[in-house]
Parts: sequence; C-alpha cells; structure tokens
Amino acid sequence: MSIFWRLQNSPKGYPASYVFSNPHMIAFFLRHPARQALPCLLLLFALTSCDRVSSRMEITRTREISQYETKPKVGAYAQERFGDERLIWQTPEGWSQAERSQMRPVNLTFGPSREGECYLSLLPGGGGGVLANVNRWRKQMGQPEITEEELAKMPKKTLMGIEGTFVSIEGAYTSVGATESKPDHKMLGIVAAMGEAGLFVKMVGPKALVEANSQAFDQFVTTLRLRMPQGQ
Amino acid sequence: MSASAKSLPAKIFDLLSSYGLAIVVLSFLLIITYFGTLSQKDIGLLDSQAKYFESWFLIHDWNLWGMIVPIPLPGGALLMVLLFINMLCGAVIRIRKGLRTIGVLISHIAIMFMLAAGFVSFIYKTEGAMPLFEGQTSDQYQSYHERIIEIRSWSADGKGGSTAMVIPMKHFADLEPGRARTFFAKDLPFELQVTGYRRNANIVQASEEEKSAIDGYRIQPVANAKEDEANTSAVEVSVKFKDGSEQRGILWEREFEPFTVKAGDLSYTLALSRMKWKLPFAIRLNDFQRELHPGTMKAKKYTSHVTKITDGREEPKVVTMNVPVRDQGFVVYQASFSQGTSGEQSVFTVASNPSDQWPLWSCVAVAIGLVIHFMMHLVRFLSRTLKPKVA
Repeated sequence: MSIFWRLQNSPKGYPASYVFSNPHMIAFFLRHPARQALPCLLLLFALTSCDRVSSRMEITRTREISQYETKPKVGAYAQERFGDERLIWQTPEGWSQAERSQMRPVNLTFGPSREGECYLSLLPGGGGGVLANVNRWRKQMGQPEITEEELAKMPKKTLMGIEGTFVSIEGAYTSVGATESKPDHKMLGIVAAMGEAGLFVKMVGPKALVEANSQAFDQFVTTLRLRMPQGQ
Repeated sequence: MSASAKSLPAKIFDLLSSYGLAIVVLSFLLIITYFGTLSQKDIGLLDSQAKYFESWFLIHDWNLWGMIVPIPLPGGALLMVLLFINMLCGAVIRIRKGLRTIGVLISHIAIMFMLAAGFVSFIYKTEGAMPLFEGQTSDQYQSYHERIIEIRSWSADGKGGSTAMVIPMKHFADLEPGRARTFFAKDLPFELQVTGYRRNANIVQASEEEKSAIDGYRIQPVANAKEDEANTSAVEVSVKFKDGSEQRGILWEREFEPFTVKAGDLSYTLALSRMKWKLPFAIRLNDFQRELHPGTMKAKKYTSHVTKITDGREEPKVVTMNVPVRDQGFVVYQASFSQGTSGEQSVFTVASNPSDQWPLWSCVAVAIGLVIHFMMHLVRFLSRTLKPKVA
C-alpha cells in the first residue's frame, strides 16, 4: 500500500503522530529510504504546516478562566472602556464612587452607610427648563412649587463654567420610584442650562449628614470640569 | 550504475544527500543569520525572527551606499528543513554504518535532534509574563505577542462562564481596513464580523459625521513600535444577531473594560487581549527584594519569595535571577520588576516548552559522538605510528 494513500486517507488531516506511531509506516521508511522517504517527509512538512483561513470560520479554541482573574465590568459604556472620561473631578475625602450610568456619569456616595448621594446628570433636552427641574426637586422633598420670580431671587453658583441656580431644600425626601418618603432630609443642588441641555448636580441625604458635607459639595462642584478633546 | 541510468527519485536522493547541498544550506544560514541579526535594530526582534528565521522565502533590502537592493533569499524554515533532510539522507541513511562511523552518526543524529527541538519549540512553546504585586496570587501567564479576541458569557446575576471562546491572532491579523471575516460558534447566538485590524493604534474621539465613528470613537493608526510588546492593537467588530440586528464596537488592547452585547438573558463581553495560559499551580508573591549596584539604579539582583500552591498544598520557593522554579513542565523565571503607585511589582516570565532540555541533550550527544570519532582516529593513528615497520 502506498505511503501517499495512507497519508491521504488518515483521519484529522494527517497528524504527524499518525505516521510516526504506526509500525507499518516506520517499517516502510526503513525499507525504502532512498525512494520514497524524502517526498514523504516533504509532504509531511507541507501538511502539518497548513492552517487555512477562510472568510467564515468557526471558533474552536477556548481558554479556561482563572479563579484569580479580575472580573471585568459587564455593560461598561464607551468612555469607561477607553479610559476617556470627558469629565474630570476630585472626589472629596471620605466620599466614594458608586456605579455610574449614562444618566449619572458621575455618581458619588458619602456617609457612614453611604446613605448620602451626590451625582451629576446631563439631559440633552433640558428636562423642561430650570424652573421645572427646581420644582420637581422641591416636590421630591415634599415642598410647594415656586414661581419664576422666586426662582430669579435664588442664589447662583457656577457649575462647569456655567452660572446655575443653587437649590437648598429640606423636608421628607421621596426618591424616584419610591413609595415612602424619608423624613428629615436635605437636598443641595445646582441646575444650569447649557443651550437646550440641562446640567444638574444633586446632593441628597439625611439633613445632618448633608450639612456636614456642604463644603465637600462645593469642593466637588469647583473641581468638576470637561476634559479637552484628544488631539486628532 | 551510471548517473544517467539512475531513476528520478534516486537522483533527487543524491542531490539531497550531497555535500554540495550541505555547503549551500550552511552558507545561506550564515548569510540570513548575519542579515537577520542586523535587522533587529531596524525592525525589532519579533519581526526579524519572523522575516528571517521562521519564513520559507524572504526579500532582504540591502542598503548599498544609500541604494536599496532587494535580494531574494531562502528563509530560515526552508534552510533548516533542507539541512535536516540533508543530514538524514547523507549522514544517517547513506553513510556506511559500522564501528568506524559510529561517532559521526551519533553527532549527526544529535544535530538533527537539535533541529527537531527547534521545530517542537516553534510549534508548542508558550511563553509569557506573570506580573504580581506583593500579596497577589495568580495561576496564569500572558503572552508577550499573541493577541486574541476573547468572548465570554455572563448570566443575568453576573456569573461568568468557566471558559472563554478564543479567536487566535492568525485568524484576524490580516484583516486590514476593507477586509472582513465572520466568526461563528454553535453556542453563540450571534455571528461576529471582524475588520480593520491595526497592530498599533490609539482610540480617539470622533465627530458624529465620521463614517468610521463607533460610539463616538474611532481607531487612529500609529506607527508600529520596534518592540512588539509596546504595540497596542485595535480592531472593529460587528455583532450580527439572528434577528438581523447589528451592534458595532471597537476592541482595543488597552481598554479598561470589554465591549458588551446582550442576547436574551445573557450578556457577552468581547475583548482584544493577549493570550493567557493557565498553570497547574498558583504562585503567590510574598516578598520582593532587589539589590542595586552601589551608586547606580542598575539591578544587581532581584529575588522573589513566593509560595507555590498546588491543589491547596503550599510550598515556599525562592525565584531569583538564573534560579527559576520548575514544575510540571513549566518554568517560572524572575524577569524584571516595576514600581507603581500600588507598590512594587515583580514580573516573572513563565515558559512551557516540551523541548526545553533537548538542545542540552543534543549538545552532550554531539560531544560524545565527536569524542568517540576523534578517539578512534587517535587510536588508529597511534597504532599505525607505533606499529613496527617491516624492513
């Protein structure tokens, strides 16, 4: 039987082990070294070195995951993935970074049980304007709405280079989606309009805790800024 | 039998077993070693190895007084295969076998064994880095050069699968912009189209008008670094779901988090990273020490005190320069260190090579063969010299 026939009909693409583990093959090489051994060797090298790449390929390789491997964040958004935070800020001492989202690109917590929260949000449509947002916040704190005149008299603070309305509200806080309110809470915030977009920083938590962190709030707001785009 | 009466296979055998071929092959090996060594300063070690020593043919650009002259040359792979065949035919099959040639035979078989060691190493060797901070444990090492696209599945409660699907670099490294390839697997609810591979790239913000923009970013190609370890690859992927919908993403070696797509209750993360291999044991770095030459920042000695953990059994070990830890076919060397804000990091090189010790054995065998051969010549010479001459 020809050595070529054997190679062509061996399973799984002619592995070298098939040839070298078969006693008939070894005997063949020993009997006819000069006549056929060399073409066979050349063929063997050619066959074992082939790895065909086509336009559609099945994924066949896997690797085992180590128990020591750091778990990646599932669902990270583009800025997080590329380390390209367009926002820069300093997290005040004692505060922690909480999980961020598209709605809360900066999300911080503070307090012994991290019960205080402070976050930045950007709304492309502005959320109805400054007054509507201030009144929405007041409603969350169980307070009555204010008028345009009252809004105009409210103190101002600069948020990322834009003058915004500073809000300080005390009351019973009902967070979005909650059915029960939390008494004796306080909210500090800045509502700024950037063209049609709305820019908000909101800090809320138990009254004593928020008051103890009001300087940290100012520090956070002062350091918050946009990173300049990368060079192209 | 006259030469003209010989059959074609016999003529080919004569050619392949000839001294002439041996001289030609060894001369070309000398030439490509010279050119390959010099080219390392221009194109780096990895590319130089691939171009000169792992190729079948190559074109060497010879700089002749400022003029580039392309010289076609046989590659190292072709030359070493020819050398192996030449020695097999000439020095093993054709050689007269007997006591007088035993030394030569041993030496030639040993050299063939060394060539085989190189082939086995080329196919099966894995080598990579394992960086560890003090107190950190790991049981895997990461390739210096082999990039992969890795797909992992995650359940709704955040539990990841025990294995990751891997697309090796050789299946996507040729996909420059304009070329694409689709990958599929029976366990994947989507097909993955890969295109626009760049060996070295940055990711930059893109305006919404740019066609190549994906999630507000695009790949910006950068000139390749000489040392491949410094390159950070990037590639574009398009996840094509069975319902016809599509989600595009950019994968980048230096990204902090992987690209995620959702399919039903499962999430899938896709990442471009370097291949990682798992060890059958874990290494925990307990203490890292370094000594510098007095008055310099040049390292005199690095020493890592580690614990090797095998199936829960802990064993203290010391890894230092030229004193690696060996176990189950893996060798852990002390490679370097780095100093960062998180403290000192010891960097180990881990290698697995089935033919690790073969060159040593073949060198010993070559030496034994040559000693036998020369001793026999000496004995014959002495016996002839000392033999009383007949008047």
